[in-house]
Amino acid sequence: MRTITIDPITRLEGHGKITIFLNDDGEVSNCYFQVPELRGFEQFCVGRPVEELPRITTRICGVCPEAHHMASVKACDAVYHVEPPPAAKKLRELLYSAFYVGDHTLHVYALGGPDFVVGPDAPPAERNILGVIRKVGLEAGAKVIELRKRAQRAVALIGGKAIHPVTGLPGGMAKPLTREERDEILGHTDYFIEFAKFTLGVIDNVVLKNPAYVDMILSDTFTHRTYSMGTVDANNKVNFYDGMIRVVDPDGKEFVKFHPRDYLEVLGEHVEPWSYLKFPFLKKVGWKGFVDGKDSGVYRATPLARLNAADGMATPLAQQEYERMYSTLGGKPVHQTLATHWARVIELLYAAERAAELARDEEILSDKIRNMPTATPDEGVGVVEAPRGTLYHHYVTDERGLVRRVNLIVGTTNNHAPIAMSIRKAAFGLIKRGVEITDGVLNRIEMAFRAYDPCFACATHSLPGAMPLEVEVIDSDGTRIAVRRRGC
Amino acid sequence: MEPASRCAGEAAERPRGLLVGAGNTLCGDDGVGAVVARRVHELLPDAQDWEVAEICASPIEIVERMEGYRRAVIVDALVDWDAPPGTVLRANLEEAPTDASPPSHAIGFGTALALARAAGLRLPEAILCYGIVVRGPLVFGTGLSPELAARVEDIARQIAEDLKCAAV
Repeated sequence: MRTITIDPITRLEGHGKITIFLNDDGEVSNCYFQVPELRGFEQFCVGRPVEELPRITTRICGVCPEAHHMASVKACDAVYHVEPPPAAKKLRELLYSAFYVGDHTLHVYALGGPDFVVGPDAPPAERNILGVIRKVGLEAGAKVIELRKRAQRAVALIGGKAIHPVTGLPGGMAKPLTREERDEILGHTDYFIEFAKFTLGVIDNVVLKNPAYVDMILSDTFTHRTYSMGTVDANNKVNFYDGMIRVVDPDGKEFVKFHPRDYLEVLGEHVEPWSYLKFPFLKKVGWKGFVDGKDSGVYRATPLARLNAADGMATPLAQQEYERMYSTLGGKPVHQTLATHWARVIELLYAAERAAELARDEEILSDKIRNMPTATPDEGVGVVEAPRGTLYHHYVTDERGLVRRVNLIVGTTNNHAPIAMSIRKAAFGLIKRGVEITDGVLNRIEMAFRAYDPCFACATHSLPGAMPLEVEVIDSDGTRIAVRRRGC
Repeated sequence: MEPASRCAGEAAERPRGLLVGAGNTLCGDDGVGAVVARRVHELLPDAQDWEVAEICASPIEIVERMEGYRRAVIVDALVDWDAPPGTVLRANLEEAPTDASPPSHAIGFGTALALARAAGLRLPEAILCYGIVVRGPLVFGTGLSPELAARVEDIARQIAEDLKCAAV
């Protein structure tokens, strides 16, 4: 048997590509971002009982299956015209909050954080979570692992399994929470909150106290004035699991607030010949190309966009941090893409507090966790805020509940146009005549992309849920003069 | 904040070995790891000492799942255009490189292992990985391609034999 060395890209197929074209003067003339093609997920679902989809859709992506489970089961509720009992909704939201804590943690420490904690120009081999631990301290690594373990444990207690929950059913949940399980979760939520506070301290000490980083965050190279989208509760506060979808304009004024089932009236999808993935936009404003501003229908649905679209956070500590962020960055809304990392940590704190709030609620121990569906199934939309953007599941069935049509808009797809714009602007801003195209320069261009925590394998409904990325620079003769590849 | 510790609710006693079938069983040949791992388990003379887990997730989840086991084996699909489908390749995960820059969405095996070790996770003394060569593009669908399905028994026997000789 042949023994091989594992190359991070060996297992994966297909890759995203950022191509930067230079003119005769060595300056950027154009920039494209392309992702792999669609792989037929919708067709795979057709003909299956709709209640199977909450378990099938978790297989779209190996990173955020809980988000698909939740959006899917909410779509099933809508298909069957059944409202889950309060305890079931609380169980779902508690599970989802625990998932959020784990997911945002990984991004902060492993994906987005290294650029700031280790430094955007540090040697590539050091710019990863291990470099973060070396800088922040070994105990940070232990805390990250412990946090993730506890988050997965909470998900498993409610969802039946860690990573791929199975307990969501049309009309509610498959199993109640015992008092012992609830008490265990309460211990975990205490840890979540302390961990979120610790992480905010890291952001304060490493990022905000470094003037060079603050200048980079506030620079025009990483700024786009777009519309912002996010789900809000009855008080217009951020909510990840349920509510109305609110969009504010680039000045922060409410543009539209709509029920998830009406998303097709609000969103259009633009197609470009050079990309398989569509570009959603606000229909009433219209597609005006890859431009920002009030007259362009481009919107963002990111942690920062969610905070922009809301009037605040529904938990006290997160609200304090929300106010501090806006007062530090010059008021609301904030359009600096790199501030998305700060917003993500505020969401981490909110998810932790919300999980604790739900776990303390005695109603969550109720045995009444399902209303049996009795209506004839037909059509329904389920929406949650996935960590990387608003996630829409839309199903149409026949009268037996067999799927006839599926449409998904996943978190990252919302942000496809702004990601392309952010990469383009960073390329134009950073590559200049006479400036050496170093790894640091290419990395800063990638930072414009990484802030969105993009999941393009998921956005194209392809597999295995991760995607290698290539950045290449082509000069005016068509020669590739710089390239960098990454695993996923 | 209290120091890192084991979560309540974890099993105190675990089988000595974890046999991971990695991949997505709803994605055609990507699920070959799960199919083969189940069969390998049946073929192992000390099967009672092994637990089988099907995991469709990123490397960090697989590494975290290994905590508390003395040995671990991962069976996974692998795209390698230089080898015919069904070829079995063995890799030592200890040699997997760490991420050479921040990834966009999930960290690699090498980084996940180094992170877990730095965090004091009790990982297996030996971790072996078997990659089974498949052809892309991977598409949604149940069941393996006929070409690969016909090779499952042979592949499982190869791995089971290799495990008897390997130091795991």
